[in-house]
Amino acid sequence: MLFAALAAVLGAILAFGIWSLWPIEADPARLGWGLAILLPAAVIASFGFGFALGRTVERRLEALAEDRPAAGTSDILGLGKALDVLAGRFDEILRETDRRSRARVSNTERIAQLGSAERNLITGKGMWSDEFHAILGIVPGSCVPTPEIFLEVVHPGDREEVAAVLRDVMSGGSRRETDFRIVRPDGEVRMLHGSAEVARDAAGTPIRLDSTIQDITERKRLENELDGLIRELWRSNEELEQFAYVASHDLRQPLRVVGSYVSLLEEELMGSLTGDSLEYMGFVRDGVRRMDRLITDLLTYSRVGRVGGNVPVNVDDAIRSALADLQIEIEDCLGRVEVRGDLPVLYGDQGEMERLFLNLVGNAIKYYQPERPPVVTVSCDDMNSHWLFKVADNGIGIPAEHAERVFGIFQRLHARDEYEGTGVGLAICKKIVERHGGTIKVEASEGPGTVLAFTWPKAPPPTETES
Amino acid sequence: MASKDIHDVLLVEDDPGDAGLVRIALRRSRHSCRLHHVKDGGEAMDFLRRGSGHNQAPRPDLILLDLNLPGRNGHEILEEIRGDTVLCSIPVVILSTSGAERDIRKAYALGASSYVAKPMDVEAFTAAIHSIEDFWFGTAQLPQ
Repeated sequence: MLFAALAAVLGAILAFGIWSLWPIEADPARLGWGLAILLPAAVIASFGFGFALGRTVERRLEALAEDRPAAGTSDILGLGKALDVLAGRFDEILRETDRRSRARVSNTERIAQLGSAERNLITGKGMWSDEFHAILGIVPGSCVPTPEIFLEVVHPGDREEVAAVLRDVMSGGSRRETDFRIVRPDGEVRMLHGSAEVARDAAGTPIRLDSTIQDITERKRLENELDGLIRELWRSNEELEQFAYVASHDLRQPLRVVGSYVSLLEEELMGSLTGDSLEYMGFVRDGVRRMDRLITDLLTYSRVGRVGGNVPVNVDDAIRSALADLQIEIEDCLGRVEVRGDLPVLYGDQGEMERLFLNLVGNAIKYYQPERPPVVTVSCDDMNSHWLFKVADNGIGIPAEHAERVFGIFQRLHARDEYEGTGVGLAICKKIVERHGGTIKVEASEGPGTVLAFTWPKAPPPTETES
Repeated sequence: MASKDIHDVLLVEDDPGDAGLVRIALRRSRHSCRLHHVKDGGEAMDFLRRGSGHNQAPRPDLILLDLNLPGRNGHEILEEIRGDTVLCSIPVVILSTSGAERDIRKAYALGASSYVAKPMDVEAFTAAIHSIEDFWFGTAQLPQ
């Protein structure tokens, strides 16, 4: 109604306005008639329009009010109600977000098997997460979370220690971590890793104890298993080396006696030995000698790494020493050994490095083709992270199919009457190179001969505690 | 220095073959030696202390000691000899198959007079025994 009256007044003012502006020269009679008709019509139309508009607005507001029962009667335009709706939605979103993030934290805790707890140190009220309950084997809600209940679950053997850690943290200590056992209500014993920390207010007063527990039973079990395996490996390795070492000595002892008495026999029987018996005697001596070499080589093999030093070694010195030992062999076959390039200083064991070059150059000299005096080249290349050494010869070569095999212990490729040897030399080389962190292989070569290539790291290998 | 006419040598060696080689070598030596052979550490200490079965035993001028012995090994015997105020002045030469560095070090650390690895062939072995004799009974001064 308010709107209708307002509209009628507006209509009247509008009509009066039109009349006052009407051109004066117009016919007065026609003007009078027009005015008589127009004025009431305008008033009525304005009143009707205003009434209708007012009703509509009222209905709209009523409809809006029906959505939400009115809280305040003074809320004429329903604005407060609209705000309430908005606030309600906001609350809902907040609650949903909170629920989701809790669910997410809970999920994360479950997956990480990490339970968290907090205790308000002012009110004494505690809160355990679902995973905290789950790790302890307690149904959430079945008990009031208190430190006493928690300590009850801790294994009696670890209880005092855990209690002491908690006391320590609360009495102003820093963050503490400890591993301990718990006994779940169903009797299962689990291993936990716990940590606790105190939160303080601006004044430094402890206000909250935050703690986490994590089930590490499986991890501990695997760790123990791994430790056991490593110990076992060490032990068997030690045992194996000890075995080779002792066996080598114990095997040589009777052999030495055999050899010695055969010599004494030969001496005694000098002159009375004839064709066949002289040959038999020769076989015995040869057998003893070969057996002795096998054992000596095996001993050398087992010793690689036993005394192994880890000091700077001048490769040039190592090669010179090896060549000096091989001098007679080299001269006998009219061989030639060339050393190319500047030789570096490496980290390793001097004796082992000499042995390495002695065996490699020794092989290169030994396996030569009768019609071609051996020419051996030793070279060294800088490969940034490591050095690459090559010992190349023009000898009989190693067939590709045997490239791997030659590094096996007691592995020989030739009959004894062709080339002497025990088949341990390259196995020793491999052990020496690998012990120092390198690799060794027979390189495929185009021409005749053999190329043995091995790498040697530049950085000194970490020193082993046991050697 | 007028030394004794005959030197007493105590050989501690469980291998009869090796003991025989030492005996042969000493027989061919230019020094006069009397070889006393015991087979293990216990018997060696009995001999040295004139214990059971050895109450007439002379005090040896030189002990040749193997390392690899049944029961207590050579290192332990050496340690016991060096720890004995009466026996500690007797030269002890280790005669072993082992040329292992750790065995050698340990022997010297325990007070071995010298360490000789048994050579493989009989001539070298004989030569080694002869050089031991030459040194201890010819060159070196021994306590009387």
